[in-house]
Amino acid sequence: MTLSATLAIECRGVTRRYAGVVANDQIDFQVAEGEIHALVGENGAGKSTLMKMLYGLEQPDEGEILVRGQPERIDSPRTAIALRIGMVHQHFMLVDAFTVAENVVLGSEPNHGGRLDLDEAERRVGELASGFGTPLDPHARVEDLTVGQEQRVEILKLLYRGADILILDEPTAVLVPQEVEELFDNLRRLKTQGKTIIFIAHSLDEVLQVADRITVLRDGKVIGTVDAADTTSEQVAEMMVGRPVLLRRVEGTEPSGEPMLQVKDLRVVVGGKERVAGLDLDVRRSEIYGLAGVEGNGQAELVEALVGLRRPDTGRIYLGDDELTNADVRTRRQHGIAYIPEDRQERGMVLQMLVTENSVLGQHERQPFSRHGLLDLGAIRKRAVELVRNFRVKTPSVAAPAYALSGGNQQKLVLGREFASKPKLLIAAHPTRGLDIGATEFVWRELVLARDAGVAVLLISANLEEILALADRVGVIHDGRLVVQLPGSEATMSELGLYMTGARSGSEGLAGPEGDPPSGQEPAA
Amino acid sequence: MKVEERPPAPQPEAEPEVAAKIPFGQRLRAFAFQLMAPTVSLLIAAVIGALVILVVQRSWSDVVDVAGAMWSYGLFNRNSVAFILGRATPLIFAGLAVAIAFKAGLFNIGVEGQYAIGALCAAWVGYQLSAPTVIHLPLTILAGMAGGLLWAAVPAVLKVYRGAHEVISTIMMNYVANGVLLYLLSGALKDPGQRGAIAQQQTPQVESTAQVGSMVPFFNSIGFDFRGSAPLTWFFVLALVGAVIYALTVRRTRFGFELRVLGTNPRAAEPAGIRSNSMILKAMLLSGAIAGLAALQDVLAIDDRMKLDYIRGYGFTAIAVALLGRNSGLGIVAAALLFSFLDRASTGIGLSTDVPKEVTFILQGVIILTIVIAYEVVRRLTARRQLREQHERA
Repeated sequence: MTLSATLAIECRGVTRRYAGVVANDQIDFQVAEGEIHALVGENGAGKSTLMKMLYGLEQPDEGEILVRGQPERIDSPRTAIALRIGMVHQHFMLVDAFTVAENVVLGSEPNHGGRLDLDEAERRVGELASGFGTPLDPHARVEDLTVGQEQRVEILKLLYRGADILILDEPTAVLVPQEVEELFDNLRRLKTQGKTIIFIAHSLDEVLQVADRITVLRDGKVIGTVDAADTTSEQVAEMMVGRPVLLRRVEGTEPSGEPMLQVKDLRVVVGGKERVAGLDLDVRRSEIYGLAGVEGNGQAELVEALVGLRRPDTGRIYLGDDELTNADVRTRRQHGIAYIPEDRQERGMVLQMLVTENSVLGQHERQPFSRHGLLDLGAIRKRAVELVRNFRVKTPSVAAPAYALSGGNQQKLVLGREFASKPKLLIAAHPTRGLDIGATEFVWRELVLARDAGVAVLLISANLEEILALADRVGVIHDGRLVVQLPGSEATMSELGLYMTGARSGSEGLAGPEGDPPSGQEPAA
Repeated sequence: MKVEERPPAPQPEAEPEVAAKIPFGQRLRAFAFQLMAPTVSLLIAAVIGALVILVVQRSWSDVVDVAGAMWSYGLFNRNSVAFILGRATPLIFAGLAVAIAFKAGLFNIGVEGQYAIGALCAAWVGYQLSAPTVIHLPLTILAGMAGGLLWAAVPAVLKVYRGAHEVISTIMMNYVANGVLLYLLSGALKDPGQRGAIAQQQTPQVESTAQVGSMVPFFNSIGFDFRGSAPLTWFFVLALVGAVIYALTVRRTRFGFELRVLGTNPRAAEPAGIRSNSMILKAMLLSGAIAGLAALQDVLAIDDRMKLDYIRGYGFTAIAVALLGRNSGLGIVAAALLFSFLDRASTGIGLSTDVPKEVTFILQGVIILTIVIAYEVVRRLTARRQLREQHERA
């Protein structure tokens, strides 16, 4: 991809400020026609702002944007569409009750004197879809589609409107590995048809797989553009963060010890549906157990049952030698279970309360934070200062309300608080969701440190890279059952993906040819 | 590929300075900002009140007269201060009762019934028992609290075990309380000593060992000149102590902490190990017990007995008091004094102008409305400011 190729998009010195903050600072950015160009950077690096300007949702304060060599004023998405620029947002904008065809033509319906011509719509959509990956039935209702298929509908919408510059905002964030593969095939196919693709990405390995060139943003500035062919994910990560980043597998210093958490034949029925269906699980001392799975396969209910938020219908839960099956949350916390909830803002903290108060939430009834029912505000403040310092939480003051913190810093506060409770078992549900790469690395390190300090860590994550980088053992949950259990060092992404989607069945996996050591299943006495 | 040491990067970074406290100036500004809402809403209420008088009376001079009467009679009449402090007393108790339930996210609309039953229990213990003051008076007061607690227990238990919404059940309990009061005061608890056609539905007089004294002598001894009949009793001091205890409980105790977590984000309370049901039960019972204190001044100090004309609306005014006082101890005292002042001022309006004194009721109603609106406006302004600050930091 040489620069002599015609440019689809060129930004020259584009600057965008919000209330004194420079979101994009003198951005020079070039996308050649017919290439797949990835835009990466940490949260707040300015990726979204730049894309919004290309799609007409924002206007630059300075600089100019050239589309196919012509300076253009893109003042609305309508103008962008007229310039054949289309964007797929991270959150799909589809009407669930409509069919694929209806969704695709929505807004520019073929008609005869005002009468909607659905047959024509279906024919054209079918035509478009056939040149584009696995068949997609134009009559299917969107509510019946998988997330990957919905995404294809979004892309079809753009193609239907004649877009040949496609902007995709974190398209892989919602997909399972197999769907990601399919998306990439489709992107490559679109490329051969001459389309230009810009996509915002989080996962560096994916970027390297599919992109021709990669532009890295940091603090609103372009750090550089590199050819994907001659770079590594470490290099790109370093460009993003500004220092060397460690995001690869770290083995434990201690061998895993005796089982700390033991779950036997756990069943959780919600609304008549068996969400956890007879699950056995054990997590040992000095071990990170990674539980992978597509969301909605019983992870949430399992975690709730382990933490004490939901009563299991059958089964037993042990922590060490203590049975906690029917214990309430406080008792479990007192026994040494720490919990990082998936929805940290909603369930992990009280935004209207102070940073100090939030930094002891859940541990507030312990000494030294409270004695004889009285709070020791000094001890609480001391803890808060420690957390803010050790976990580098950016806050105006520990006496500020938690809502004054940015989302990432709120997360760090919750994580730090749970680590600081000196748990025996740490249940971390999607601990890095929504965090940027620097913060992710930080959380990973902390999880590893906790493990090396002897904590049993149950890591629930939909992010396979995370599971593979951290887990000593990996289990895959599908339909409320544990379908496979592997040593972390032997698991591969594609294999886990097959189990996650249910493409490979449980019994086959557990007895499987992967040489899973029986130790994973042995029922503890 | 073993990496167990902490990241090398943090070292060059200086230890971040963590501010343990918000600077005084900033806190002062935040406090002033908080005061803005009640101030603005009072001003708007005053303007609307003036408009109402204009519409009804069609004369500017009446507006001036009313303002003058409120000012001169409401504040500077010989007895006004005593009256305002005394009449604020039940409102402070009732306001605290509403507020503690509010803190846990509960709406106790039943303070009205709770204090009525509390007063009845206190009156009964007051005239039935004979014991020295040190035993009798505390027992009588405890009986009042127990009555209120009992009346709050029904909605509390229904809420925790059956999911019945406390707004509905507390309102219903008010009606039941009313019926119980009528039944007992005209029957079992009726003063048998009365004769003739003017016999009132009331209890016998409480023993002097259960009575609480007037505060007027105390105030007069420090230079005031109140009439002996002014309704200012030592319950006022008890109410202030109650407000202080309330404020400390909410801010400095584990119970208060859990109450606030539950009230502001019940979804976070559960994972933090807070036993929601037990907290709801405790908060509601405590609210009822405090409500039980609201009418004791009338029963044990002013009338010395429980009378039938008992439903005095403290419980409903208390909701406005708690709202205006933002559920803080100090705020509730201030709001109770304000409503008490409006009450006193209405007497002044009735005495010295042609304007119906009900105009102050309109004023009270408007204040409640404007407060609700003003708080919402301030909340949004604050949220917007926070968002902007966050953007600037990001």
